[in-house]
Amino acid sequence: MSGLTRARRWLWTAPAALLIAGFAWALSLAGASHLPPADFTFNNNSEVSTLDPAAVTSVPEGRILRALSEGLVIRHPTDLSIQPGAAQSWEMSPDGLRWTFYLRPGMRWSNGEPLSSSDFAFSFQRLLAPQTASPFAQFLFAVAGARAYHAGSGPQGKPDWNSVGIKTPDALTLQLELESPRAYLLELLACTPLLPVNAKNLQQLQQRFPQRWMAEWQKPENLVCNGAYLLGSRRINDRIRLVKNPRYWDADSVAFRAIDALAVEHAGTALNMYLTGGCDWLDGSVPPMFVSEMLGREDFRPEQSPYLGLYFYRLNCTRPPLDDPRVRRALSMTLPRDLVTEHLLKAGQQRCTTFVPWGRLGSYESPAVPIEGLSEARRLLSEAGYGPRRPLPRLSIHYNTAESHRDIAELVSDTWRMALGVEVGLANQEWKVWLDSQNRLDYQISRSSWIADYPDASSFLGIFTSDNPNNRTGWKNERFDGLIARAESELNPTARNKLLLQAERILLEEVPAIPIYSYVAQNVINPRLGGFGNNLLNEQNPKFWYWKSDDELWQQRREQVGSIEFVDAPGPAEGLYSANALRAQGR
Amino acid sequence: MKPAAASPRWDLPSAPLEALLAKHGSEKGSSLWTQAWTRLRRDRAARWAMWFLSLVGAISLLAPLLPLPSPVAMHVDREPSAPQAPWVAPGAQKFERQYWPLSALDRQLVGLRQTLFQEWQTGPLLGSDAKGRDLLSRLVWGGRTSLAVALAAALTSLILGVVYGGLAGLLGGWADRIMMRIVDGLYALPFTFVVIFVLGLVGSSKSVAGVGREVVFLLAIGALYWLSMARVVRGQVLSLKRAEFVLVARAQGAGPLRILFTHMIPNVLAVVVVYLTLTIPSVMLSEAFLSFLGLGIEPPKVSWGLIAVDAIEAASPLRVYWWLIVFPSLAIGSVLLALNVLGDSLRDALDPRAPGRAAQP
Amino acid sequence: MQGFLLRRAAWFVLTLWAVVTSAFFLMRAAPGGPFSAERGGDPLVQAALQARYHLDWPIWRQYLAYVGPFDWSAQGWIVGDGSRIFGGVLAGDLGPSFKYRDFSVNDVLAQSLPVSLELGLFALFFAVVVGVSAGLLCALFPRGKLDLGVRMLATAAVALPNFVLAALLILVFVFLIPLFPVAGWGDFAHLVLPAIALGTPVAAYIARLVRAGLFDALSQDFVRTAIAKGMPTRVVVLRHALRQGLLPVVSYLGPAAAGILTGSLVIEKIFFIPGTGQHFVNSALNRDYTLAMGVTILYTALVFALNTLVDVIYTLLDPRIPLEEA
Repeated sequence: MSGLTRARRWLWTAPAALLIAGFAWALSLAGASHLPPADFTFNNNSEVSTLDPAAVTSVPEGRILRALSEGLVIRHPTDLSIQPGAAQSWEMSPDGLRWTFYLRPGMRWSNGEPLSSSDFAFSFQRLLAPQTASPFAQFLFAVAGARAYHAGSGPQGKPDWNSVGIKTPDALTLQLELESPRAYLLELLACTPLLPVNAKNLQQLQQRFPQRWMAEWQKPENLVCNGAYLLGSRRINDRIRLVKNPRYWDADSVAFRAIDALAVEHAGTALNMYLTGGCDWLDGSVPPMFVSEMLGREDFRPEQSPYLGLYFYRLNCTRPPLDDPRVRRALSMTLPRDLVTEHLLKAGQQRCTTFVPWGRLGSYESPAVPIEGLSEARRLLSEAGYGPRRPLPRLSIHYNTAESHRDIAELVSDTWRMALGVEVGLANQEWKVWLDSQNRLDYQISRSSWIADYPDASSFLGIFTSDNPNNRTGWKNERFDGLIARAESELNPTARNKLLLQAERILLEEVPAIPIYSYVAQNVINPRLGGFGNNLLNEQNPKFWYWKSDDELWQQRREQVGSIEFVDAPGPAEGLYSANALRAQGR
Repeated sequence: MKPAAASPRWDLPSAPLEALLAKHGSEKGSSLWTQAWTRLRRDRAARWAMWFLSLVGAISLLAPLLPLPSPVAMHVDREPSAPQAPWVAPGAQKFERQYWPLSALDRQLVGLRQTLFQEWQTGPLLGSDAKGRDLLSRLVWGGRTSLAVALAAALTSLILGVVYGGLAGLLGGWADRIMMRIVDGLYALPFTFVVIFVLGLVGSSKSVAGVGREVVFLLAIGALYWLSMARVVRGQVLSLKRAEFVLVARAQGAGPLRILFTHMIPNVLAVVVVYLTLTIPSVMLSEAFLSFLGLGIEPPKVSWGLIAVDAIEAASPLRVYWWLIVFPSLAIGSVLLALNVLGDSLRDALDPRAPGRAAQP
Repeated sequence: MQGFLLRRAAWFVLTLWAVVTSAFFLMRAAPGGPFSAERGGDPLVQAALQARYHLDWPIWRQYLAYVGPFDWSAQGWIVGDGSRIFGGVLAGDLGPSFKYRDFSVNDVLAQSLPVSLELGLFALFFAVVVGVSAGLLCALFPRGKLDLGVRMLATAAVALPNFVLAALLILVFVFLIPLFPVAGWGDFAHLVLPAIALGTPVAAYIARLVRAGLFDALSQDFVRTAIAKGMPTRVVVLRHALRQGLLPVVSYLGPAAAGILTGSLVIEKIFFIPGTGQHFVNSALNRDYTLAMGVTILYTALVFALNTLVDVIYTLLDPRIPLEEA
């Protein structure tokens, strides 16, 4: 037999051998990262785009960052009250223009370096620096000179950090000098963009990797943070593992040693993982088909969880016929909000006719909106010059690809056609295209939603000022701008609420957008989880979480009123408590 | 053709030559197609497939006439209901005339149906989905849309592919090589990106109606499959160019056009028909994938892709809405199965290389 | 052989360049950009972001910076400011990801590729074993009930969209008979259902190809000779006919393997697997230019490599077929 023939014989085994060898190699690579199970697993809904606090824009990033970093102040999970964080106390000067924060002594970063006020000053400077391109730089615009610094100009034409009112008199004191008083400054300081960043670490990495520092900075082995957890490992579209930070000042109050944040986007898969024990907390991943099955269970009580989110239709106020506020009001009056919340949504969302969801926020209450009839709407239309002889031209509702948006738009368009005789078409656009058309004001009606950054009415009302990039309706009103600006620097709560009320009245008259419904937080939580705050922002701080023991769980169940269906609560029978909690229990 | 003169090597029957000629002269000659048709008819699986597909085609065409509930009418306050046998509460619900904008002919047919059946409609024979829409009606109307899209896209790919591939094969040499390299290059472009790009361009324009978008969708899918068609056609043309009967025809003095039309086209068409029958299932699967991404057919219009996407979420430890998975799978599976079987049998029937068959001169 | 490989390499470089260039310009022509978000359309911020990723440069300069091989990205003209000399694709740097801003494209692919390879290789293994066995069975017992049954099953398996197949698998093997976990990635049990869902259409196609190829081979003269010599049918089929019957499978596996190895978005979404398949689609939807280019390059290279491998194997197996026409 010739050599070639013999070779050809082996050729058959070669592909098989290659296949098996390749499989074994890939198995070793991928299997090697098989992690032991974490104490707690939750679904973070989508892969985070970045862990840089200054660049973060959405909720999934915020959840991770609140575990990794701690700001000057934090919000309490139950009532969202401001609690000391890295700052143990603070003072405001009588005129409200100077705030002084006293940091906790002895705090350290995860690499052992002491945490000082200059770290916070550096982080705030980075937030304001134009090169950082932070979408939330305006959170610090209350500080004197900040706006100019962000715009890249200063007293001598160049940005000068010394002209900005952020001072560090000593290592444990931080002073903010504002250009006008700000009532909710503490709320802003508790937000994600204001989390600290380790200056030395970042600068070292930028020197070592001038081109690639963005890809090196957030690696688990390089990241330095000051919060309750460290970054253990990170796999895109799989999970982020957080491990307890032993150098955190309050490490004794932290119960969970390891937490996994999954990035499951598919709602059905997420629900199935929760129901089969692979996940302990879902936020908003219940497919509409199963919402009614899940209601009434112990772990799904959305009707008890109002959420500061508003679903509304933006109206392009620069194009006829929507440039006439009477037309806009007529459309808002005839929008079938009850049908939407009761027939399409079913999870306890409520109709909303005001621009602040749920109609109230803290001490602020939105003005009451009378329910008008169809005749009033038709009268407004005829006043604007439209009627049976001159019907409204065809309108279109733009929405990004999602079934819920489509259903709502279809319901609304059907109702408007029956009530006002206007033809309304639907335009489904892919997400980026939809954003683009909103930004360019290339739409008539565009579906939108807004989630509060902080629990204050200005977080919603402030969107519609003429210089706010989130306006995107082309609507401008000087009086409104003036009222909002005055409310910004008003410290007296009653006076402030009055100003905001007047501003909201303008919005309700002019209707640059049509509010539709207020959100509920659709949390599916393992009943065994303790320290989970049912709050208006659905903002969670992992440092408070723990597993309840069986005793505590049954105690909680005995105190339940009403009939609910108890479900499995997988977890350790004796619970998992922090060192402080164990000491308090006498163990 | 006149037979060669009798040679002592051949063992011819003793009957006189004239009788022999007369006998064979009265036989009808059979072309490739008639032979293929005979073979096809004898293949039992193919017969079933053809009957089934004709039935499906008829139902699709006559969908507006059938007394089915509306595929669009939502009853969101109801749970997805399990299938009900026809004898349980027949005619319990009234017919609601709700559809997406239909063509004039379809509107007439629906009107005719209303005259015939008045308000009566079938009950949820196959159950209803999460929004209370009847599943049988959605499957029937969805099949209509899916098959129409698939046929149109396949035809687009056919025209483009045959022209391009035929040209490449006929020209040969450098032109052929370059044309095929262009095809290879286009193959490497990620499909999704092209679709998103094209849809994004159309979506951002002023056209808001679904019409413009669907035409683009069709063209995008057809544009994907013409590449394979071009390759297949080119291969066939290349092999045909070297076939003996073409050389013989050339030797006999036939001109290039005669060769093309009498000899090449029938054989190429054979391959093309087979390939077309097998492309339609692939197109339907691509449509399902695009619907999964939300880039496919837009609601309220219904297609099998959209129904299949709903099927994924119907199973959960809480409850299994089995009818939402089983019936769509049966419908899609059986139609695509029939198409594949037909395509396979066509290939077997038209294949000149199978034992007992000779290439057609 | 060497000439063939060299010519193939040259074509590969040319095709890759053409694909990269056309994809580069195509992507930037689509409406919407990588940095548009529902929040923060402040023009200053947008401008700063674009500047950081050099999206404000003229497009030819962006193209040169992307392709390399020199680092054109600094203010200095030809060579960078001394921080590095080489950059761009030709130097092995696929750039930063616009969507996953803490990662470079190299990192993203390095994380997801082993996962997809593991799943894909297992799926291929499953597909080849099941497909070849089914095709063999058909050929050994031709025209019988078994043949018809396998044909139907194989055709049916190709007839369902793979996510419907995945839903059926989950229904049966996770909820009805709890054998496997519902989703996730980690150990062998997580691998099985996605591999079956991924590999079944390929298995079905392979079965049909093997069946057709074996029928072809079995109608050849040498088979008749072998049977006339008294060899048992099984031996004839396995030793002689199979070699020729597997040829079409080899040529089909080339591009099919490329598709399977890079993963499928649908399977990855349903089974929550961190593979590369979702990057193909998501990078387009997110306008993540660099990642989209990265996966395109990866896919093109893989297809080319596999096709060349297939052609070489094909010729080595059946020397009657000239290399160029394979």
